[in-house]
Amino acid sequence: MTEERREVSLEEAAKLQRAGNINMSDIQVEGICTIIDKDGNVKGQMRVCSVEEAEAEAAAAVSTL
Amino acid sequence: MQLVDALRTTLAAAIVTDLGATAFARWYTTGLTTLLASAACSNPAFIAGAAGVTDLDVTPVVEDTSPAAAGTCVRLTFYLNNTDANTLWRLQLGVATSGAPDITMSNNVIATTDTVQLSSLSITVPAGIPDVT
Repeated sequence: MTEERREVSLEEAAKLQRAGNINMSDIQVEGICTIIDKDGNVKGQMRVCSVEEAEAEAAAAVSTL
Repeated sequence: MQLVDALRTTLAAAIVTDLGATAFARWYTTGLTTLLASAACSNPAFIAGAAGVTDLDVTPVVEDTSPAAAGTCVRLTFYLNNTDANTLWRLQLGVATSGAPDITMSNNVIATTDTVQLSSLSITVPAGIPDVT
């Protein structure tokens, strides 16, 4: 028995990953939170995981297919 | 598994209902050990939309202008109220400056002189698809 291997693009890999079961990590969260220092400067900005980032994560997770 | 949009919306609405009228956003250190900052949410905290989407009501903005403690934030949570009890949290989001957390932040160290502000937050219940693999 031989093992079938093929290369997939990151885009295709992301689609394959998203085709999996629903789980908690699939819940998408977007938003913005900011930490502002006492002088009014933005000290840290929290960009909550976007759909695009979730797709990128999915692609990275299966890029070794 | 795939969910029909109406059910996704029902699940999103359940988040709104479950958080109730007195929800708080609370920022914590690792393991919910130290409460760094907290902010009262609107009543209700989230506004349910279509297709499984629910948005945090940020009018007025959800913010803490005088954090209770200084430290590194690794959790953004939503509690039923501002009581520090482990049974009261409903949502937890991981915070980090790198990797693939729920929330990526350029700087997640909070000082007591800082203002911590949530200006938008949207949660989407996924649709999924039937999986036969």
